[in-house]
Amino acid sequence: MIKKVMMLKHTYKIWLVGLFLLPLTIIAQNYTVSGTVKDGANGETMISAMVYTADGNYGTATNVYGYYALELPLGKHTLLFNYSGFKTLTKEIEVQGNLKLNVELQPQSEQIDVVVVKGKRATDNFKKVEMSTIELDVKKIEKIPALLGEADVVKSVQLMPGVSTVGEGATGFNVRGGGVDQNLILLDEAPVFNSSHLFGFFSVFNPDAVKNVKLIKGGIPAEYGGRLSSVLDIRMKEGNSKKFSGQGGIGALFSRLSIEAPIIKDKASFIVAGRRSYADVLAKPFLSDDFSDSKFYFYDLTAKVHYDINEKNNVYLSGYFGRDVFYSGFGFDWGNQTATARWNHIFNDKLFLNTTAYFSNYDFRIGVGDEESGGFQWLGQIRNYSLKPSFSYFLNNKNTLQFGGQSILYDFKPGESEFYQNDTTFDFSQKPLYGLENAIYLGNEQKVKKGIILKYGVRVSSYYYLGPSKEYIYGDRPDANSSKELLEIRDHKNGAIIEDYYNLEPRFSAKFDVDSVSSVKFSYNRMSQYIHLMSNTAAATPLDFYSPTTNNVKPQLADQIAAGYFRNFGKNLGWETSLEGYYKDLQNQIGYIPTAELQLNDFYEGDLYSGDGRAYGAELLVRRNSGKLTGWVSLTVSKTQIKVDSVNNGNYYNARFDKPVVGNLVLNYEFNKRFEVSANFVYNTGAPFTTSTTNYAIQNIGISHNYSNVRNNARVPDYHRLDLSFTIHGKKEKVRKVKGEDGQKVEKTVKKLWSGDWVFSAYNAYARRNAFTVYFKNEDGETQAVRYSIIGSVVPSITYNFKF
Amino acid sequence: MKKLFLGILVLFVFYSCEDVITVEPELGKTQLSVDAFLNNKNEPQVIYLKKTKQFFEDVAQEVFVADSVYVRDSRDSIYVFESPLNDGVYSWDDSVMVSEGRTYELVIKADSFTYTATSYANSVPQIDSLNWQYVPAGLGQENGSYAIELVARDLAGQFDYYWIRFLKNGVYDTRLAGLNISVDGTFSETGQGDGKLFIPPISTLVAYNVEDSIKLGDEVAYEIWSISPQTFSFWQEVSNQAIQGGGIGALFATPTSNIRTNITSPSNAELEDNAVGWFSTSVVSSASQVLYDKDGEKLSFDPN
Repeated sequence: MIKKVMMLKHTYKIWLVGLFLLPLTIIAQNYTVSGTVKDGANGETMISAMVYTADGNYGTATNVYGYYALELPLGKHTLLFNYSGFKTLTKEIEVQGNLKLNVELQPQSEQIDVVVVKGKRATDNFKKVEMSTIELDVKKIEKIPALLGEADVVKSVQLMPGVSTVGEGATGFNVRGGGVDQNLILLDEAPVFNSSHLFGFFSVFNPDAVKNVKLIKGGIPAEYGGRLSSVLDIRMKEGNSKKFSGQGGIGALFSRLSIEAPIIKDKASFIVAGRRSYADVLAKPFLSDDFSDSKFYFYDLTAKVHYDINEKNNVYLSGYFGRDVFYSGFGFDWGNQTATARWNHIFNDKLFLNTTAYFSNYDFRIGVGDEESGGFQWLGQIRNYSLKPSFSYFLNNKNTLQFGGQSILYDFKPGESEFYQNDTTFDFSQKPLYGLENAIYLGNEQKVKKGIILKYGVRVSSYYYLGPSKEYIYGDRPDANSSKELLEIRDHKNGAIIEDYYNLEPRFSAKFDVDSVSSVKFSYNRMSQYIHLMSNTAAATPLDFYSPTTNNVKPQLADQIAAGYFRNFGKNLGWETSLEGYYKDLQNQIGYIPTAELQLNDFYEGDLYSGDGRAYGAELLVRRNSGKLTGWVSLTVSKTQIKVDSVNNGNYYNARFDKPVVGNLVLNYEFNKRFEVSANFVYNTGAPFTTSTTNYAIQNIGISHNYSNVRNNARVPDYHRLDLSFTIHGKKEKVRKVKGEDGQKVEKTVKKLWSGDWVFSAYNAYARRNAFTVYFKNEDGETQAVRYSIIGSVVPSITYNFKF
Repeated sequence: MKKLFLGILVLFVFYSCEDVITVEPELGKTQLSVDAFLNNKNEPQVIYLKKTKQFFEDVAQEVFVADSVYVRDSRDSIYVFESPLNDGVYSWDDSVMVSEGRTYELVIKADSFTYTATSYANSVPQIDSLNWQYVPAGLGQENGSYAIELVARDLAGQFDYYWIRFLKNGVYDTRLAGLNISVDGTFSETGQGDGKLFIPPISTLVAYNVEDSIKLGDEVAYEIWSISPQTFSFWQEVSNQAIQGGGIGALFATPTSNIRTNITSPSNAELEDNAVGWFSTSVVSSASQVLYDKDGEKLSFDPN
């Protein structure tokens, strides 16, 4: 009880600090120009649009809600608004007091126009303090050739340096040596626990509903926390607030449709987007009797409503619902659901508040039969509820403060299972688990002087392992490979604090200009993570459950330092390059005893090892964003190792996702408005696996043995793949005869109501048999190494995409 | 688990493939392997001593010749195992050997080294009866076959560990898929099976998918071997390692790790003189039945 009061006191203290900061921020400074930047075609707010004076002396970028604030001295200024793919807007203004300036940018009619920007190019990568960060807009994602012609958010991110995956069929992705559960994947700020449909072949995000994708691998700002390795921040479209429109696609595996429209023109809008796969329907005639009642499909539905109540208040409601369903004698399905409500409030020209409340759920179900005929049901679930106020305070042109807090309540049902036999129900359920995570943060981006920007901050996080629950006290292991001995079980009541943890997480980034086209950057971040994916298989699966931090499972911690050199060159400085190095140190990483029982086992904590990880590497990226030929080359050289008790004799060994060399080449060439071709080539070192050196038989069962007990002592053959696509764009405009003002018929070019594109693609174009794993089998007395490829041939496809 | 996922990626079955490749083998030195599963059945008790072999060499394991092999129980009875042919097969056939409630120590002397292992003989419940029911061909079962269920009740009290073995026409099912171990008639300590009937699929063999299926007229038998918690872990590790096979199951395979051994090697021995393998003593209960056509009788659940 005392502990509970202490916790509440502590929590309040954390929030109070935040509140005290508030009045400080309302002290008015000089004159501020502020407002929102929107896309003139559909009214979508624009994220990271650049706002700067023509002389280059003052500049800023819009935040994730399209809001900007810029402090300017008295007098006349030429203000430029710029966003890639849009016409630069020039506004002559005279500052006499605080000024509200909302603008709309018009898309460039000619897609392939080279963007010519007057004044300084503030959009350049080397100008920003952010490092280890990749921003992709959906238009770029759509140009990358994809499996079955379907543009994919996560697959596109995987082509960036520092991001890898175990292989085709592996759920999730790995960033700079981090596990798949160490990525904070946010869809409109709600975390998504499983980003994959169909075991990683497709991601759960419908590109038709996505506006912006940002991956942060290092120098993670203080407003983000809770995962060690990266933040994948995905923002959904608000919906067209100008006119009814829609888009969709008909592909070999699934079809998509999205509809967006204003509810009140320029004030309120919605978007609804759905996808459904139909491979089962198409495959049905070809399936043997055994599979004739099989179902396998996935679907997802994304929806959002937004309402600009007035100049100072906006609200957004967004949701996602997706599911993968398999049925073949038994049923198996899984999926995420998220719901986010957000309220933007502009206190004054300088203080911006966003408050987010979200709910996120991931669950899976497996079952066969029912209570009457006998069978079993198994459900696993993780839910969380969160409230997250975050303030941006544009103190002056040299300082932008970010501060706020977050509380997350976790509700884990690792496994609810019942088994039915003879009218008797056996309950195998694992007990539910609860946790509360709190954090407050304060950060500042400071322009120290010309060419030097610092971004620093701190996040204080706390975590409480809450009752009702049973606390297990474990002793030592009887031997290195066995479960820990259970000494005592203590009962805790509802709301009791079984264990608490606090972490101070400093964050720091700095940028120093070297000359007018290049800069060097440094960053450090400490991250903590309070939920842990229990996965001991070659690749994560939808059945893996998240464990909270408990008295036995400590919070994972990571420290990362990174340094980089950034330079733009070429005509219009159109070639963007970066070279970064990083070192990451990970603590309290999780390992498993050989016979770990992770499912439906209340005593799973006794089957875990604790250990350390280390990852280091260098990443090179050369990218061209404009012109007829766009794309990038990336090269990553890295090492990722883990050390957990007793595995590999207690020494460091290569992690399953250690890929020393990863290279990607992504190219897109637009011949003209109608035709474009794209290609990407992927190369990476084969994933490590453990091979045996000797074998023996016990009771006629063959047992493989590794003489020196080394983990991951071999690698599968190197992975490489070429994907190609060819797109024919339908005509977007047509010539129509209309009556002119004088009554005469004149020809006028108008936008077509319907435009369609054909995408022809070939994934794995030269049919490389990339090994997911290598295993050994004995055939006719001969032991053979067998390469198992999940995709061993070329996968051709045709997709028809349309817009109206 | 592997079976569970068999049907899942039907779509990508069109694209997935397997082929044999060449892998540079990593060599290890050979070691002594001990295979000693003793019981209370009225039959010769056998201990197999062999040398491990190179992984890629397709030869039989070489025999290991010891100077002496014997077992001493907690009442100081000594059972000397002999290998008249020096073929690594050491046997004792003077009397029924294992008794419930005794601890047994295995001693192997070879060269200047002495290897030891101990095991306790736990008790075992009787098998009440066997049920059988015809299951037509379907997923995971190429041919129609009889499913066989054993009816037995777990011993009430402490956790009990069992190794359940199936015999068809007197031959043990040594398929890896047939490796069937249990705690209190369920999968694990959390199965809450204490004192209750064994549950399927522990109690039931549905798919017998070798060359031939189970037919009327076949003699089927179940044996329950009492084992120690350590022997349970040993078989669990063997079973986990076996899942490393190919196909889509590879996605769900756990990392390969060495199987535990309870053979204590001399502390002064080099790695190459360390032994692998297992020593276990069991009390066995059994029931057998020649299958006949019995109308209307079924398993306690519907295997279809």
